[in-house]
Amino acid sequence: MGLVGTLTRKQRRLTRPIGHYTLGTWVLLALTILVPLLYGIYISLLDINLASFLAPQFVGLKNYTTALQASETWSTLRITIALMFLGMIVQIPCGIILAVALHQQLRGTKIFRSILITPMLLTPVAVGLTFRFMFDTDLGVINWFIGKLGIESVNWLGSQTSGLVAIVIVDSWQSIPFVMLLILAALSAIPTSLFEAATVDGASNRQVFRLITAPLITPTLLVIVMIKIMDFLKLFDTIFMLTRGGPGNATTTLGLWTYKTGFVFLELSRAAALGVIILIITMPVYFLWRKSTRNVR
Amino acid sequence: MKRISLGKVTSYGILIISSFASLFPLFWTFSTSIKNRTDTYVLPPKFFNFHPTLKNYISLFKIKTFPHIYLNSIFITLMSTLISLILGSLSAYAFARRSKFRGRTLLDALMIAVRALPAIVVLLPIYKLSSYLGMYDSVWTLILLYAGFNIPFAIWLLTSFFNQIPIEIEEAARVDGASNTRMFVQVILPLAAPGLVATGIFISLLSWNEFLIPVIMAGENAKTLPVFVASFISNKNLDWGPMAAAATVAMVPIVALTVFIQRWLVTGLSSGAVKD
Amino acid sequence: MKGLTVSLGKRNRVLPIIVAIALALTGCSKGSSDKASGEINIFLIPSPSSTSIQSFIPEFEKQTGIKVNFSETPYGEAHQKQLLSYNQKAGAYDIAQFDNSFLAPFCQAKAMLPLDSYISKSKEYDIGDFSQAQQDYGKCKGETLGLTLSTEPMIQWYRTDIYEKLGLTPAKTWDEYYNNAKKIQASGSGGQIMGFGPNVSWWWMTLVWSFGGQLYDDNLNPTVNSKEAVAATDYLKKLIAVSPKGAITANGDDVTSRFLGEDIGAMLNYSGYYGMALDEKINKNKGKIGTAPMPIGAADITHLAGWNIGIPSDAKNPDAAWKFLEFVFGKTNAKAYLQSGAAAIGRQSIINDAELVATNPYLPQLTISASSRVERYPQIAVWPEFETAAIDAVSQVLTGKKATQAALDALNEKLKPILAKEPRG
Repeated sequence: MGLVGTLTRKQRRLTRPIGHYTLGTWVLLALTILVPLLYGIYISLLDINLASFLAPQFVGLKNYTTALQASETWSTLRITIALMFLGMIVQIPCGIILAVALHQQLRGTKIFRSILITPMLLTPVAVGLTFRFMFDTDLGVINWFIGKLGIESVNWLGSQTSGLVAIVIVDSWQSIPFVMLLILAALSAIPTSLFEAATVDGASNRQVFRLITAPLITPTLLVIVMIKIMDFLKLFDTIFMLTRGGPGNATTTLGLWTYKTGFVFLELSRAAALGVIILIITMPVYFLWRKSTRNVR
Repeated sequence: MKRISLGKVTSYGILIISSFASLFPLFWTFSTSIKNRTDTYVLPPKFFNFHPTLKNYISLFKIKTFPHIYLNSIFITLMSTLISLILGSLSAYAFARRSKFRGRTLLDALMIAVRALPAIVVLLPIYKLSSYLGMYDSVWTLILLYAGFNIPFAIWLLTSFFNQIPIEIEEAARVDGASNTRMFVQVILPLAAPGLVATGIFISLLSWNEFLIPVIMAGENAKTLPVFVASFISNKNLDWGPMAAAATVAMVPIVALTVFIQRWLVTGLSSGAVKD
Repeated sequence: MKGLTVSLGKRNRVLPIIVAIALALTGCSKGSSDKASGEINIFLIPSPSSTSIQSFIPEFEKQTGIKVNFSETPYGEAHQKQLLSYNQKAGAYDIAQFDNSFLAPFCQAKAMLPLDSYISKSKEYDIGDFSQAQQDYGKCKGETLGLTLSTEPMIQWYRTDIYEKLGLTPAKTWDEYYNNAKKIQASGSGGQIMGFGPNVSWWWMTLVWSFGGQLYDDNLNPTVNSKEAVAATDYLKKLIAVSPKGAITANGDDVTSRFLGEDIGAMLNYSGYYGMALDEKINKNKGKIGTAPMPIGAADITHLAGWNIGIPSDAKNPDAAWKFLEFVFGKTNAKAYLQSGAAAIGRQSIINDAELVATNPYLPQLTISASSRVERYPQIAVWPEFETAAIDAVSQVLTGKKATQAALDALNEKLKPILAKEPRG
C-alpha cells in the first residue's frame, strides 16, 4: 500500500526503454568511483610510498596482513564504534523530543524550525573552528559556563574521553536537526483517520502511542539509524578540526587513520588496503538497511 | 491533528532552550570576530561589553588570494550542481518509471558505494591517478569529483519527486503525439521543478561545504573556502579574531540563505526520506 | 504555477552569473601560472621567519619586477602538502620553507633542487660567513637541499621579574627547573610551560637525549624504552603538574603565545620564537623576558632545530626563485632580516654584531650549533611515521592512560617495523 501521492508499482511502469537516460550518470560514476575503486584495490597490492623513488613492487596481501595485525587498525575501529554509539544515543532521543515539540504546531513553530535547522547547513570546517576556541581549556566560553554551574573545567580536546565527548557534542549540534526533520515528517505522515478511529474506539493516550504512533514511526527510525551509521563512518571534517585525531591517535577513527597513513606517512598502498577493509566493513551495513526498509514496507 | 501530545509549556521550554543552543555558537563566533585581541583572551568572557572593531575582517579581505578562493567555491558549486541536476534528473526519471533496465544493478551498487563509503577510500587512488593525468589542482577536476560524489544523493531525492508525478499525464501527452524528449523537457521537468530546486539547494550546500576533496586534490589554484578556513588553525599567534572572522565569512551566506530556502529543505527531506 | 516560474526564473538569472565567474576565474588562474613574465610562488609555514620573509616581498618586487605570491600552510599539514604537490610534478611552488625534520624524507623523494651551483657562484649569499655546521645543516648526501633559514637551539626562557621577586636563578639542572616551577606556581603564577600537545615529540626527544638516552642505536634499532628514556618521560609527566591546565594540548606556537601573553614563570622553547617577543601585541611582558642555556641532565645536550628553505625540484622559475633567496638571505639584508622579527640565521657577522646582541640577547647561544652539544632532528626518511607513533605513545603516558614503561615498551615494538623500512646506506 503506498502513501498518499505515490502510485503503485504497476501504475508507474512504462513499457518503452528509458534505461539509456542513465548513461550520463553511469559514465560519471564509472570515472569518479568505479575506476578509482578498482585502481585502489590494485594499489593495495603494491608497496607505494609517495616519498620513495623506488619502483613499486607487487607484494600481494602483505598490506592486509600488516593492517590486520596493527594495533591501530583495531583501536581506531573501536573508537569509530564508540563514537557511533555515543552519537546515536544522544542524537536520536534529542531529535525525537525536538520533533515532538515542533509537531505541536504552536505559534512561532516556523521560526523555531528555521533556527533549529541552521546548524545542519553550516560548513563543518567552520563549525569545528568555532567550537575549537569555545572548548579552549583555560579561556574558552564552555568551561567558563560549566564553571558557573559548579563543575570543574574540563580539558576538552586534550584527552580521549573528553575529546570524544566534544566531537559528539559538535556533531550532534549539526546532526540533530536532520533527525528532527525526518521524524517530524514521519509524524505528519500518519493518517489522522487512524487516530480518529482509535479515539472512537475509546483507546487511551498510551495505547494510541504504543499501538499506532510507535510502529508507524519505526521505519523512519530504522532509516535514521542506518544513515547515522554511515555518517559516523564517514565523519572527518569535524574531528580533523577539533582534535586532528589527537592527542596522538586517541580520537582517530578508522577513516582518519586511513587518511594519516596515506597522506601523512605517505604510505599510499597501506592506506589503500585500509580503504578496502573499510569497504568490506561498510557494504553489509548498507545491504542490511535496504533489506530492512523493504521488508517494513 | 497531533499524533503525540506534549504540554505547551514543556514544548516552548524545549524549543527555546534548543534555539538558544543553536544560535549561541553563531553569536559567539561573530562577536569574537569583531573583538580586539585583548578582548578575546579574557575571563569572564566579554559578551557585550567591548569595543567592536572591523580590523579582523579587513585583514581577511586584504589577503590577496581571498577573492579567488571565494570565487572558486561559487563556481565549483554552481557547475557541479548543474551537472548533478541534469544527469541526475535523467536517471531519476528512469528509476521512477522503470525498475529494470540494463546496468541497473551495477548502477545501484555504485550509488550505494558512494553513500556508504568514506570519501578517503576513493580519494587515495584518485590522487595517484591524477598524477598520471595531470588533473591535480584544477577547478574542473573538483567539479567532476563533486558531481560524482553528490549525484547518488541527488538521484535519491529526485526519484521520490518524480514518483509523485502521475503517469496519466505522460499517457495524455503521448496521446497528443509528444516525443520522448519533448515529454521529458516540457512536461515532466516543469512538474518536478520544486523537487529540482530543493535538490539543487541540497547539492549546492554539500558542494559548498566540501573539505576533504579540495584538501587533497587542490593546491593554490583550485583552493576553496573550507580549506582556507581550516588553515586558520594553529595560526602563529593563536589569534582567535581572524579565525572567527574566517568562520563567520564562511557561515554568513548559509545563514542568510536559511530563511529563504528552508521551505525547500523541509519539502525535500520529508518527501525524500519517507517515500524511499 | 508558482514553482514553475521560480525555477525558470532562477535558471535565467543563474546562467549569466556562471559565465561571468568562469571568465573571471580563467583570467585569475591564467595569471598565476604564467612563468614568462617572471613570477614565483612561495610556500610558507606560519612562523616568525615567514612573517619576516613576507615583509621583504614589496621591496623585492620593486627592485626586480618579479611578481611574488605566497601562501601559508599550518605546520601540521605543511610537509605532507609539499610532498603531495611534488608527487604531482605540478610546479606549484618555486620556493618552499620546511622544517629540518623533513630534510631526510624530502631528500629521499628528490623533492628539492640541489642549490650548490647557485651558492658557489653567489658573492651576495657569502657561504663563508657560515660555520661548517650550518653549511651542512641543509645537506643530504653531500648536496645542499635547503638554505639554513634559522638556527634555533632549544633554550630556557624565564620571566626576569618573577625570578627576581622569588629570588630564583635560571635552572642548571632538571631538578632545579622543576623546583623553580613549583615555587612559582605556589606564588600564584603558572610554573612553566612547554608543548605537551601535538608537538610533544620535540620536548620529549630533547629530554630523552638530555637524560642520556637515544631514540635508536647505530643499527637503527629503537631504544625508546631504555632506563634513561623512561626517566625522561616520567620527568616530562611531572612537569605537567606545574604547568597551566591548557598546556596539555598546546602546540609549539601556543606555548610561546601563552608565555609571552600570560603570567607564566618559565618556558623551554626554540630561540627562534624570540621574534614574537619583539611584537608588543603578543608580548605583554616586554622587557621582562630573559634567556639562558638549557638545564643539564646526564648529558649536556640541547635540540638544535631550524627551518630550511629551498627550491622544489619541479619549480617553474628556479632562477627567479634563487634571486629572491639571495635578496632576503644575502649579506646585505641579513641585519634587516633579523630586526624584522625573524628567527636568527646564525651568520658569524650577525652573532658577533653588538647592536643586534643588545636587542636579541640569545644570539651568543647560537654558537653552540658548532659544538657537539646539540642533536638535530633524527635524519630518517620514516620520521613522519616515527614521530606520530612517538607522540601517540607519549600522549598516553601524559594523560595517564598507560604506565610509562609499558607505553614505551609498546612504542619500541611499534618502531621496529617502521625503522626497518628506512633505506640504509
